Amino acid sequence: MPRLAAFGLAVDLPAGWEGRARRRTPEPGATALPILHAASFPLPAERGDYGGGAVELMSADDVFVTLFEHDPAAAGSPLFARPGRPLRLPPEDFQPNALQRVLPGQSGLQSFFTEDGRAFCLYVVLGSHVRRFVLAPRAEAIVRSLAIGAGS
Amino acid sequence: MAVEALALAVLALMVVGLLRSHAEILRRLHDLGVNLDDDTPSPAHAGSTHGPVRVGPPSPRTQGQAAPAIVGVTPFDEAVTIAPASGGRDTVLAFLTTGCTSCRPFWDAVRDPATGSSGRRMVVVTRGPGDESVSAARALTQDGTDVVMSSDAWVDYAVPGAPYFVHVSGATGRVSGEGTAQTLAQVLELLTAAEGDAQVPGPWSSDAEREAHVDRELEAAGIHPGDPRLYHEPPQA
Repeated sequence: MPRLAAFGLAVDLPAGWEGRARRRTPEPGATALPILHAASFPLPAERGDYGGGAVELMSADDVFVTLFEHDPAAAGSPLFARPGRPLRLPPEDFQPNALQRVLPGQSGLQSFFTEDGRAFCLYVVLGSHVRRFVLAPRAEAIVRSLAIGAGS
Repeated sequence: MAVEALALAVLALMVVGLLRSHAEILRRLHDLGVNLDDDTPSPAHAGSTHGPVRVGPPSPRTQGQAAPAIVGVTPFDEAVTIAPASGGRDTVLAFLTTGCTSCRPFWDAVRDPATGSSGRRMVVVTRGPGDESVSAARALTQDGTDVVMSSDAWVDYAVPGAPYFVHVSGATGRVSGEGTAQTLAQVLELLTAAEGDAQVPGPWSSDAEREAHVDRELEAAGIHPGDPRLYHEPPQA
């Protein structure tokens, strides 16, 4: 199974899945922190942090996962108080109104957590809210395969 | 005198033999698409009057091979894993270098929004950052162009030289055509033809293979062994 690894993050990608990881363009004086995208469809070279430019290409069978690192100073703060990533993504936790970019039929989930001293936002988009019971386990498998280590 | 003449004749024979051997090596390298002179494109790749060459069904190296994922980085330090048949979409992998003259028109073509890829995804694959100029790759990459730097991909796809193109079928996830030509338009056209050829049954390597194919076709049509239609003419209307 192909593995994407960069910036102290790694993820196993099942057949047909793609992944990309880069450092975001920082604010002046700030550190460039990484963002990782994994998708069950071809990821365009140009896309926004929360999948703008990519989620529009999703079919009803597709899944899109973003792991977005925030300033390490935020680790452990109330927003990021959850210790570790969510290892279960229950289908009932996905909601159309949780999408960063609302597209008809899609569903989203957002979770903030601290792991290994790093603060993250996990954002998942399902191509179909109706099919969330089929798609959520696929997203969950990706999240479980994530490896988070010391940042670089 | 006679000894000198004999020595000269032997030397002449050796020189002729060496020249022939050298010419044979060059001819074989050329057939593989390798151009030893970076500044002088081979006739097949330059703007010559020769027709496009070597685009066809998969070579024995990649025949039936499931297209491996391409793992590398972009020229802008993004780590990338690309699945060529992802989403069931046909993909053309364009193996290019930043230095070869004959690659330049292809770089221009993939950056040109007017170049139609007939619905296929186009991914440029250069060698990895250790074997390729990252700054040159950046200069040749335009917003939206999918460029991956990966020496492993060149090995995985047994790429003989640049420019070289591999077509991956979105339906099967396998290599369905490969080769090179003078222009990107020709590459796309010929890969389409190669894919069509690959779907035509035969030629059969043995009578048993042909027979098995006929049996499958008949079974698909609902005609099984012993079916009377195999032995009688259909009634006239």
